[in-house]
Amino acid sequence: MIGIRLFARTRRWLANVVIALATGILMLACGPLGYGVNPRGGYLVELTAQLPLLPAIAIAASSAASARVQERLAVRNLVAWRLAHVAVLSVIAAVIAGGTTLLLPAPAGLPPHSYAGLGSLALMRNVFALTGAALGGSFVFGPRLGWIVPMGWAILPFLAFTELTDDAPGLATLVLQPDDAFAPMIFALLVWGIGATVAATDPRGARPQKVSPGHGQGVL
Amino acid sequence: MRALTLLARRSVAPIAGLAIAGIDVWLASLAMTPGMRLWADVVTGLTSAALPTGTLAAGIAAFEANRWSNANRDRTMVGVREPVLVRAQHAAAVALPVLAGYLLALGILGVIAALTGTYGSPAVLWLASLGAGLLLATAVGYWAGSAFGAHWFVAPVGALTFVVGYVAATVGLPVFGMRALFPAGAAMDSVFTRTVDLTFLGKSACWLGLTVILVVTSRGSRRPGTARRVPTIVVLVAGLTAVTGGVVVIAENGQVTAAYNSRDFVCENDGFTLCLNRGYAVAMQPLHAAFAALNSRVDGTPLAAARLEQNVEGIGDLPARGARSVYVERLSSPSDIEFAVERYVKKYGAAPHCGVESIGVPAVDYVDTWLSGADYFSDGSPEPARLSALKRLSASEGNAWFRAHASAYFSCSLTLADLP
Amino acid sequence: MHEGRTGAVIEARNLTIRRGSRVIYDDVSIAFDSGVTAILGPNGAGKTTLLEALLTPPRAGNATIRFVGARVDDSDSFRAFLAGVGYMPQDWTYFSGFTARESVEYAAWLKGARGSSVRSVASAALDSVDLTAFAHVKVRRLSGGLKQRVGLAEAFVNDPRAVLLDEPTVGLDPAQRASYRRFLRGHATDRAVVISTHLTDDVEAIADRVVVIAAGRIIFDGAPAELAAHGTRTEGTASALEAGYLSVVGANAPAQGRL
Repeated sequence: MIGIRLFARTRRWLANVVIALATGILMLACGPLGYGVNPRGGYLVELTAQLPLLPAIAIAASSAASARVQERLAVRNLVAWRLAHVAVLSVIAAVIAGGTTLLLPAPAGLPPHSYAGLGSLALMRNVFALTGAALGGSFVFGPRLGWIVPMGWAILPFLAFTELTDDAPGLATLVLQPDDAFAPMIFALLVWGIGATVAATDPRGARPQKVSPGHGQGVL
Repeated sequence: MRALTLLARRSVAPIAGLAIAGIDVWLASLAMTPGMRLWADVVTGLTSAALPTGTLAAGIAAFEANRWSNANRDRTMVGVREPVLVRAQHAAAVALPVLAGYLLALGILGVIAALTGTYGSPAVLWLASLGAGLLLATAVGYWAGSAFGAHWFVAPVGALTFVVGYVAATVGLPVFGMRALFPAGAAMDSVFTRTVDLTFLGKSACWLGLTVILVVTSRGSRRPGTARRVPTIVVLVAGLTAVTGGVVVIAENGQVTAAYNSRDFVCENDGFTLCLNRGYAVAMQPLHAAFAALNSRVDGTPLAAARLEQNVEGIGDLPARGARSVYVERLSSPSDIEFAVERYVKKYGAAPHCGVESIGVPAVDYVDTWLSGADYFSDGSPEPARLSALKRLSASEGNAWFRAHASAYFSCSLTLADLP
Repeated sequence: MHEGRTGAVIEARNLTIRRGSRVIYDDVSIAFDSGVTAILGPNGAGKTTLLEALLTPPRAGNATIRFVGARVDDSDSFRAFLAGVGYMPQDWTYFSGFTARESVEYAAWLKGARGSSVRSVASAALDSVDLTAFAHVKVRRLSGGLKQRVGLAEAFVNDPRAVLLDEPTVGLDPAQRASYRRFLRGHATDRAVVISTHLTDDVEAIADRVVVIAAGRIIFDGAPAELAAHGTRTEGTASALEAGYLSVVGANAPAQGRL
């Protein structure tokens, strides 16, 4: 048990849960707030749809090992532990995001819990998709620059497309696709699966460490 | 300069610069009006790109500032050079590749424009202000990155600060002039507008002033316990520049364009005269054919077009004496031409006489649809029989029918019973 | 030379390492017995690279790595290898939120300790490096020397048969270095302790054997006294060993490009 507790601390579980809860509170605070990004397009980007960026970036950043050398030479197989870390935190963030939607009042004319087309499923999907993208980004660009990929995904398509329908499969504009969009849901899970797999099995853990001056470097 | 190059090469800023160039070129290409090659669209696309490129610049600058300041803070403090100069040099090493990425994009777009015969010329002050905005985004990230120790969240916080600022400015500020002070925002350039230079000068001054202030006040720019004369003077000058620029922008209410018709026309005179802006010349042939078809139906009535000039719809729509306006913005499908004809019919036909009641006059709607050549029932729903009957008329039959019913049409008293 | 010895704790045969077009090691074989072996060499000679290669048998290319006589060539033998080695890199990192005890406990858990043994082996390791009094202090608040000791405790927490330490005494004051050397000397009787260093006084104080590396080759392998015998003390050299080292390295240096 002591090992699990210490592993969870190296992965900043407490900070991640706090960020997920803060995201939920922000979702409630933002409500139906949307903003326009594309002068050629008429639709608004709902802030609630993009807020899962926060837990996604945090989860990906926390997936990097602080004690890299020790973990690289571990007898324990950490692949399962890393996978569990990503999975548990993703589920916590998704449940909080999805649950928050249930508390949002539906504007008149929309069925309950499908506020502005983005219901619990859509927000949970966004958490998984953006987390997967952040994990993939961390794999490619390193843990401190992994945010580039999910932020690009959450912003760029709405500048590229003037209508959501321009993106027929709904994969680029995934974060704004409604609950019942099937392909985006499958794609989100696929992206999460790939991201979680590369985060758990990142072979760079076995790469010789870069030599830098000084001893006893803390990793915050 | 050598130190600057060395610092820049050791950072990820050059890669970010390339990414910024890619985003700029991509979004500027997407902003192109279908069927047209217009510099105004390039400017619109580059303006849209300010949000993602600014976000990237802020995040990368935060990352680099954080990495560098934590590694070199002590070294800087005991160095002979003034820390503020060392700091400014490093900030410049981060900002220059970012700015170079933007300039690279402009160069690429310029070459493409030259090769494809893109119409018009870029609004230089507008483009300059976008560069200034990118520098401010970099400075915001740099300042944030210097403020913290080596934490994982510094770079994303730098990037998110820019996005949050954009959202706050877009939805939170009631005054448009204040919104325009954020270094990213959606705005459209058009062939039928002229840029309000004063606004862009104000923006550039404001953003460059703020950039300087952020760099010289970033953590680690001052040696503790020493004189602060240089930064204070710089901050005062930069502050004055920023405030002056900001006041100008607010005074102009952030307005970046005003309606304007350059009357740079290319005309075709074949039965009637159709004049289109030179950038839209590619629309001449199909539009002329569409208006010729309309004229064949409305010949001898006030709706017949004699001289048409392309214009902007709304404020600034001031055609020359004896001319009528025609509106065409894109040419991606035949419906764009039909839409141009329809807007002409709606503007110069019965609709203005019917007022808000025009919607309740189906006969007028059917006639307008017929005259426009539009097909509003292509979704599979059955076309009304009366409309079908109109469409079956030959040009001469149609002209005869319209002339006979023109007075009823223009007085908005046309009924379904009047239709063939 | 100590090549291909069957009684070695850890052994690499036919090690070839390249970085791009640059050859770091070309068909080098080396073995380490119980006792302290110091690896000496100029900066950039490849000391750290050699330790890293020994620690990652799957990435050692066509080389054969043996650990306590058994070839490390599958997952079971690799697991046994990891359980039996300890390592402290030159750029030792730690989780800043941990106390010294937690840092060593985490290392113990990673090395496979279970249940209450995590706590007991960590306590023993902390005790062995005289860190018990600082066990509840955050590592980031410890001095450089104490941090080094936490790293040392982590390297020894699994009671390894082989311990590889990369520049372990750099930055320590004389008292700390003396304490460090005593610890290593005392823990080298039944295990191979390999230290990479460029400090000849470390070698003189604790090493049973010294290996000098330069330009991707082993240019000397023997007792410290034998290395000292190679040189003549001149003005500017601190010890006979340093003179021997400089003599050996100088004799094998390329004609140009060396100070």
